[in-house]
Amino acid sequence: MATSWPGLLANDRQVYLAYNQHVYAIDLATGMEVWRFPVEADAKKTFFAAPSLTVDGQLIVGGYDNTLYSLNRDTGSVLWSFTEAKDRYIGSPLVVEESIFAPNAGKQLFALNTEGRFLWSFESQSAHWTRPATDPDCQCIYLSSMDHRIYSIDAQTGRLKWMTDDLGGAIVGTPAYDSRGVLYTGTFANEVVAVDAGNGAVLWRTPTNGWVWGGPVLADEALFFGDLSGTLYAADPQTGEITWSIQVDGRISASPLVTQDTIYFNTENGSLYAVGNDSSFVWPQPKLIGGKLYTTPVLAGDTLLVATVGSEQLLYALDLNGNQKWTFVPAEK
Amino acid sequence: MWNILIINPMVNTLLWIYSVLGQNFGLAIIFFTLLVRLITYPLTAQQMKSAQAMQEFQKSKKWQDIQKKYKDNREKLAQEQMKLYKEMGISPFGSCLPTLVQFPIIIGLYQAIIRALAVTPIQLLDLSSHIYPFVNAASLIPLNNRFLWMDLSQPERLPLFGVGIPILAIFVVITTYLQSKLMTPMSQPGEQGAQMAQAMNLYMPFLMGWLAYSFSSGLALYFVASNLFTIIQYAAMGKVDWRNLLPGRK
Repeated sequence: MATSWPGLLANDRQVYLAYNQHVYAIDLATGMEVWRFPVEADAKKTFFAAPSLTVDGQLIVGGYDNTLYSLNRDTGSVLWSFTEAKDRYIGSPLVVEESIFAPNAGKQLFALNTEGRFLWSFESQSAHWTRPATDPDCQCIYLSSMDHRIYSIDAQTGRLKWMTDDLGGAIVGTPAYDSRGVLYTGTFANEVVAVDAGNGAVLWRTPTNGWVWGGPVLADEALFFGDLSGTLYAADPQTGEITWSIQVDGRISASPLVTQDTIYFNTENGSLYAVGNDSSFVWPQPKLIGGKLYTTPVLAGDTLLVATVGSEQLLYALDLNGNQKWTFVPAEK
Repeated sequence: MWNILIINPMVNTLLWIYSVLGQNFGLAIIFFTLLVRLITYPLTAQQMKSAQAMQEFQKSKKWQDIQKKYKDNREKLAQEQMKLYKEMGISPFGSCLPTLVQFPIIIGLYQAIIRALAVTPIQLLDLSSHIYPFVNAASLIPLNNRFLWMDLSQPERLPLFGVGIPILAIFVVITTYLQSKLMTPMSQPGEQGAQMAQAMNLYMPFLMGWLAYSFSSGLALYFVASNLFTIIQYAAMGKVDWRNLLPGRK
């Protein structure tokens, strides 16, 4: 039985989907499987974290077998693997130029170069379940932890720059970074919190109706996030004031996908919504995908990709009006 | 309904005990087991009373005479048995009914422990739907799974000389054997059900040990605590027959 939901990544040619015993590469145009890793299912190897691509074409994916793999993005063959972690990889790795930062459930963040060579590791008080954020100006890595804190770490050395106070609840979503020097994060304490990216001081807190699982998304001078009560919020990033909110049919655990004029988000009940920046519904009715939707939708060109749990179709490709282009059902092998 | 009546109260009680006991989940499991044992005490007492009455019934001369008299007429034997039950004030289901009532509690307890330990996203998301709004779970999650040398969410092995020894599973086998041995009434030769009881006493410890070996050590800890509390409870009521531990006794 799956213990998490699919991890999803796409470029202009292929979709990469990590779910259960395989990582799949799928043709974006047709929905046909290009390759899968491993070719033969191995009960000890399962994958749920969204893969990341390096600039030289490696697909980096962490497994529940405590191993971080580099795969050839065109063939799925293993280029190298890193096996020093003592626990599973639940969060996606962050790739910055020629460095890979892989958060691990065993309280550690590992930094490697793109040849798989270990650079440094950083340890907090609890597990890391999400991709870190970065700030290119200060060469920082911002790491959220289930120990209720955000850590700022020097990307070159792994040295701690600062950490926040206990923010009141576990953090399992990637913080949003604002070039004005602010980080925004959601917590299990029913709050979204803004933190000074220079020193970790709390700038404001905004209460929500439920746990905030997915990280907030900053776009067009607004902050968008959902919570487990089934509410989607838009907030003013300067003050945290909620500008609008809408209640939908199920719990929202994934971050929304925010495009120039539309916010796409999904619910545990299997519905995909499209709303405008002013909270008006772009689609009159939500698209009922089926199964349970926990993964943030991904936009590749004009194709909207939605991964499911508990449905025969693992992946749906839709156009921007919500019409189905293709679905992906892994072939029995 | 199952979640509302059984799982949710148990999960929230477990979380409350965990917060009170210094965020130690091992101690929370032990105290929670004790609490459940105390709450279900009336059922246990009823079960013991019925079992004792049934044992006296089996030994009674009247029943043995009836068995001899109607050994070739099963229908009549059953009728006379029911008549004698009524005469002696015995309910034939008196000893198994309390046990049946306890089954959902035991299953719920196991599920509550596994749910509270939530170590993967799906498990944690599921846990969030079981927590009462007034329980301050945000400050408790993630729970501290460490207890002594164990990670309570994983099967337990104590590394000794390079080998992982399943200490807790061994304890489960021993305590389950002790419990069944101490609490099984001494059987008479040829007594009905004696052979079955002996077989159960032999196989049950290994079945429980296998479960403890394979599943998370939080469950194994519950088995050990439950077995020990049961032995103590029965001993306090004077219902433990220590002579059953002597070699050669059946």
